[in-house]
Amino acid sequence: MNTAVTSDVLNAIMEERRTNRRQYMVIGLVVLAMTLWSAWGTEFNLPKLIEGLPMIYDLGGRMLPPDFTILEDLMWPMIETLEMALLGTTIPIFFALPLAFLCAVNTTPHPMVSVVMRLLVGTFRTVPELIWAMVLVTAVGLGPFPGVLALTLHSIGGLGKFYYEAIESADPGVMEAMEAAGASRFKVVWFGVMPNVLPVMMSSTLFYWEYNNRASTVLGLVGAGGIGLALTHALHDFRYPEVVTCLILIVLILVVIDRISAFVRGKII
Amino acid sequence: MSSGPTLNEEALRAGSFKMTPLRMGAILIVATIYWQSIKGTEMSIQEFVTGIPAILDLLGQMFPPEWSYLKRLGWPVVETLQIGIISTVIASILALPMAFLAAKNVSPHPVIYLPIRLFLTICRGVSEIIWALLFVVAVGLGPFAGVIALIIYCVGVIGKLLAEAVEAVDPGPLEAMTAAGASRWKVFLYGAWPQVMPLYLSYCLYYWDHNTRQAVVLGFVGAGGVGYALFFNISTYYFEKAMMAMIVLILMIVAIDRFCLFLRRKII
Repeated sequence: MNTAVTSDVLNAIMEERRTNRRQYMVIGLVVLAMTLWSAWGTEFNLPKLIEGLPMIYDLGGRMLPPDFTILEDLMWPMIETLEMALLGTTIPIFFALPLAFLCAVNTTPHPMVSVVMRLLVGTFRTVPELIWAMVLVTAVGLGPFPGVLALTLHSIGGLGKFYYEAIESADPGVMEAMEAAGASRFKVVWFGVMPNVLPVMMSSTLFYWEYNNRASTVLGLVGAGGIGLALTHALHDFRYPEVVTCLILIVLILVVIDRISAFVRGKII
Repeated sequence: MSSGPTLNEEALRAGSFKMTPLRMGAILIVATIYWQSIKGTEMSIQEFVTGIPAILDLLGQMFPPEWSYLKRLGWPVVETLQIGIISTVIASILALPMAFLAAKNVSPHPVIYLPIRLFLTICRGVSEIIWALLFVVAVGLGPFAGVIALIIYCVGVIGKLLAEAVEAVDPGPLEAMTAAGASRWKVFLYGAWPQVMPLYLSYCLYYWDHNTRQAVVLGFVGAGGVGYALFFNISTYYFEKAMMAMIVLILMIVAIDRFCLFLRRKII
């Protein structure tokens, strides 16, 4: 009897494994087919990669040694990049927060408002900041200002989504208790929801600060100032040693920001 | 019994904000940084307000979108999707051994672990667009440069995230396996891998989404796809066509976002 049960269980397990394996095979084949199709479409193949290697090596050779004499000239563009990122993360907070409360299903005044606002936030997030920057540079001219606006627009979408997801995951018990006690809507949000979700919100804001620092290094590509502009100029004029200096500086600054962000995050959570 | 009120008092004290010299200094420094940033980026409400007519004018030029342009966007969209797929697949395969070597608890030796960490940091320290710029110079225009750029960046990010996931696994099974005499590779494969696999798949999906999004932007530096169509049309002032490309792009990104969400729910 005991053995019968055991063999039944074993059979069931084996059967399950067989189905699982079949499923994995199908998924694997689909992924493989898609990869081959993509490789064909993007002309990505081994011979071409090998053919490209000497050229990459050659470029690397022309880049070294880095030209550190331009470090002084790079200082202001670098600071500009950091400034763009700082403002491009701070300003959207003031827009994303009210939007998030309108988006979140548990705090929205009306479900329709939530749907419309989500669409708005989604649109802001979907358009990459470089495209925002390009459109804004066309509209308001060159300089760091359109860069800040571009980061702001994209971050309103990004932060808005993080914020409303945080609000939706807030503990409903506190809110219900406060509502039952007759607190106004504002008070429920301010004293019931905010303390609950603040650490998560701060953490996602920090994440976006990091992200924006990275993004603002490339905004110069479309004329929105910062170190990206210096990099693009150097690249267009074939001054490769200067390009490498820019790259080294960017990597160093981003690593430092990564560390600062990790430190602050450790403090708040 | 007497601890109740004391606790409350403490809680109240902790809640109230006292202005100490240190805090005052910190606030001043932060205020100065912001002031400098506002000046440095030439930000002004006035400039923004004067810029509004220009923005509205541009929007006016974008409407109505040129619908007939839609059928010529089909192939660029496919190309963007292909760039996203191939770069994610290759990057996620390459990231596996990297993560294994870069995780402190399974890495064979610090001599290997440190350089790999540095390599991953450099890979993800420079954004995809800059990598693409460099590779366009090296291997010429086209999707190929974009694919390499995305792979490099993605290996850096997935490698790091996965290494952190490997470091965070429950050490129990690993220790048991090591004690039983399993090799390091086996410890990784049978001890750590089952624990990190869901995370790994989730990262891969997330970066598929991310790569497709970035593939659009890579078009700006000549790496093909729908981004190139958008870039070309903005820089030649065909704003109606640009709007059409933008609409297609938003729809594509939303569709991928939804699809990824669906897959993630299925897997995890």
